[in-house]
Amino acid sequence: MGQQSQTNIVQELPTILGVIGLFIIASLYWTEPGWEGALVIRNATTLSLPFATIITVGLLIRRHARNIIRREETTPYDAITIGSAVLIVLLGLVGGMADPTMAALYANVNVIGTMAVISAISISVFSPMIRIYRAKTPIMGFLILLSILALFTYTPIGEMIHPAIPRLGDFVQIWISGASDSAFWISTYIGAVALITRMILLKERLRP
Amino acid sequence: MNIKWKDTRLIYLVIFLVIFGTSLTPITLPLPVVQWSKEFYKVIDEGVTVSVNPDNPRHFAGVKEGTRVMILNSGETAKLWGDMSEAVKAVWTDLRRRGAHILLWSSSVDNQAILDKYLIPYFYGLDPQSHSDYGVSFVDLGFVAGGNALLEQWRTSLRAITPVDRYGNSLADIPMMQNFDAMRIDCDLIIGLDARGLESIYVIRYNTPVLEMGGTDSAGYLALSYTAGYFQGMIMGQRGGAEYEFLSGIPGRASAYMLNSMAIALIVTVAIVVGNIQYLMSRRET
Repeated sequence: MGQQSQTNIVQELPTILGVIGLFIIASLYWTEPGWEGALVIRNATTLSLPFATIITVGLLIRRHARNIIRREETTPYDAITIGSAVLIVLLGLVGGMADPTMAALYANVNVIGTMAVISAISISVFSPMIRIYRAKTPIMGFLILLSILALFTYTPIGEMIHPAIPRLGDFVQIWISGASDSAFWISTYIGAVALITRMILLKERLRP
Repeated sequence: MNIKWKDTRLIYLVIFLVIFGTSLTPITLPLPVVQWSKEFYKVIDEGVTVSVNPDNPRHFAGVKEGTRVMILNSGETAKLWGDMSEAVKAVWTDLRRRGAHILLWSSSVDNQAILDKYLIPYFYGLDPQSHSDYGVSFVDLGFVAGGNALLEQWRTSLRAITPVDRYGNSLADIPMMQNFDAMRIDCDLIIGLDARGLESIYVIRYNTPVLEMGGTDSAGYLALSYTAGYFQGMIMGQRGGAEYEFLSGIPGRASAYMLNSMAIALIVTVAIVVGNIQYLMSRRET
């Protein structure tokens, strides 16, 4: 067991060193006067971002085209996805964001669609709250109390009942929710750096 | 028609009717103002001294005639707009009332589109660049790709890599932009719309005052930067809009929207409590 762990650490040593190296390079962006090499890498990364977008669009179209060729059941969906993607790409290439058709599509389809989806998600949150929020365990009871506290904090109800209620809600929001959210993002960033490092070291399969 | 009164879908119908009814007859309710909203308004009204970098404290005297304010429309604004709209309108109204010079940047096409549809026409009409304020107290860079890397580069010179506004006008020829180039020193105040990462780019090194606006749930991830002292104030969601309307005296709709929120919160709370009482009673019977 001990030898197995040792072997794994040795195998992952390049990744570990790579992650540390990337952190050091990234940190050097923020120092004054800074390290010119870090700025060059940062600029190169910035310039490469559009290529990642192009590759992603290409992969999206390829995936759905493959479904159509194989006559999968999802063909209508695949055709709409490819059609809309190609249309937007062509409009963008011809007229850019200033193109009136592109602007109209964004204003009347994308914006409205995004807000409709977000509204639907918000409304659908009520569904589990009403149907399955039952205090079957102490933890579930605690979560229900926190939910009610949040509802009372962000509306005038809490203040009307007692001024301490919104204060308590703010405390939960700032310290408990805030800290856990930060922990989530920090761990996500570390994971992303580790993944990028492994990709650079060709330890990850890049085929979609 | 056979109505089943135990059908939980009736609750959604009630919620819809309550939202509809309270929107028709809005009533302004008393609302506690949280500390980060008070400080947001105080920064705009009275100013603040930022000394995150103790070697070079920076004093900001509040928004006055000609104060250079950059608004970074760079977070999830497009998705959160339903919860941010009235707050942004109230703050923008206040900035214009005080004579601020507003420079707007959108980090994505979605973010630009949402302001084009719901905010810019409200203040500057359907053809903003023909408005008398354009170039004098308002300039729109539109969507410029690059995210926080762009902000990092703008700190030394905006015009060096972004020479034109969204309409193709040379920034060098726009009156408002004559003393608005090196963002680390030329920008008096930054207001982020759900923007992240501004602490490391501007606050830690240059003590630039930064305020944040976001949806209610943005507070979860922005709050730590506020409590750590990087953000000088925050306005979150329609509640924040109502608070800003109260603090600034600017009339708006956010205060009235709180009636909707309260009604929905009451219905959901009652439904949760009743459901749990039913659950406890059924468990005792078995």
